Amino acid sequence: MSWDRDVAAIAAQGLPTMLGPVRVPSPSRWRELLLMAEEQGLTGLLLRALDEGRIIPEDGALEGGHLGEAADAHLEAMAATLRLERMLVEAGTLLEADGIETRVLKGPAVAYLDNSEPALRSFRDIDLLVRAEDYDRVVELLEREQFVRAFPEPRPGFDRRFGRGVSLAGPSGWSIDLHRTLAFGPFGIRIDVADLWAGSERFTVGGHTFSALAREERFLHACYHAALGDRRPRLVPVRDVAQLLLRGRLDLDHVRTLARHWSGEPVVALAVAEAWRVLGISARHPLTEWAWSYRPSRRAAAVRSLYRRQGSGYALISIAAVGALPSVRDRAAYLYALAVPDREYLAGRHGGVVRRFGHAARELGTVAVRRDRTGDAERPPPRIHPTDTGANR
Amino acid sequence: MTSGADSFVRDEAVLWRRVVDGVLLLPPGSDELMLLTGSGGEIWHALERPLSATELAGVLADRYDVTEQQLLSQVLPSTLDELERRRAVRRAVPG
Repeated sequence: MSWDRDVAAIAAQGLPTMLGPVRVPSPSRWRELLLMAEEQGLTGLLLRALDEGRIIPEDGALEGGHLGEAADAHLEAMAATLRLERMLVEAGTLLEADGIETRVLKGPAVAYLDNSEPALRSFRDIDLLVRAEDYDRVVELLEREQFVRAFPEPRPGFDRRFGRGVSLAGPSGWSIDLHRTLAFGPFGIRIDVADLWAGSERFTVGGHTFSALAREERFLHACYHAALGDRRPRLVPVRDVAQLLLRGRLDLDHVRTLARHWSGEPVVALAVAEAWRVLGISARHPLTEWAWSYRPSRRAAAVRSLYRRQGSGYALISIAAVGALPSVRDRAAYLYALAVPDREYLAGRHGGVVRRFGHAARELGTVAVRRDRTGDAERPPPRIHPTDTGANR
Repeated sequence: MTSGADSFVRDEAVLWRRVVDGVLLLPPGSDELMLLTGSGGEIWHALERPLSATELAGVLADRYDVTEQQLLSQVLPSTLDELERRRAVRRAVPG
């Protein structure tokens, strides 16, 4: 799976990349690039690329107006960002008043802690990590503020016990994604959530101080998000992986220890190798050397591939999660919840119990006849003038 | 009306971002975004720490090739009053 080379070059703006300047041959190509940058949340980096002469128009392709178009697109993105931060401050104040501890994930945390200028990092929702024992209370508090769950859980308590979390739509139209862990399915279940609460890094928004994950956990979350979050990874999380790694302040031993403890090495290897490949990063780094040579077990590779496979659906990954659950009791409760969910959960989904098993069985059958094609992303790119970052401990 | 001795500072509850044309703000208690362009953006950046109107005039006069007196008599008081009214800045104890 590949990205438009020019959009990837925009995403790599400011990083040591082999992707050269973006040449724009026509106004229609400019429009295409602008739309892709908007869709991918890259308007800040697009403007920086324009400012630094990294976008080169050919033969009148950018006849006036293009900077204004890019500026307008970024203004719109920043307006959304500010409204989301307003929602974050309000939610943070509400939860703090109830004695609930949180960690801000992704967007605002990365914008303030990992970027030289927060305006370079757009985001489209707010993600909060809460402890499992606080989960139901947080949902209750947000529902009192007219937040509405995007989807009901299969059975009461399922999300708190087994799920990644839940998305809640606010009255303003923006969403808060509440997380119990960092990913859904088997790789999410294997994360030791206690590790996520062991440390933190603070930042301030609108006079309110928030806690984010500690730096190494934040990097790992970027890896999970890039590798498992979408069928085709979005460029912002891909850039987050590269940026966090290249800033040179990670305790790599701690990163490797956590990844191993979470059985997450297949995820981290894919995310790092893919970030270097997609963004054409020229700098060498010990973790990329490891990622390119890492070979997951057949089983781990097969499970990892489910997150990217078209048509897999929630059912297949949910079934794969069974093997990750720590006890027979957990597996029984998990399977029961998925097999006999509440009526509300089934509305608009698969209908009755028999139909749901049939759907999952058909997906399993489809996967069994496909060949596993993982490992493509782990082929190292050609090494042209590598640069040692000298940034590692 | 603001005098030269009055000090101002950004309201820390303001949410903001740099944009191409200046600074985009979302002040507390308002759903209305503000875009500060040109000298408005300069004022915002200067008021990261408390400054009196006179000190602010000194900063801006250098950049805009006008006299401090012109700024104090013609521009700054009304600008600062408006920013204060919209809760982008607040009065500060002189430093």
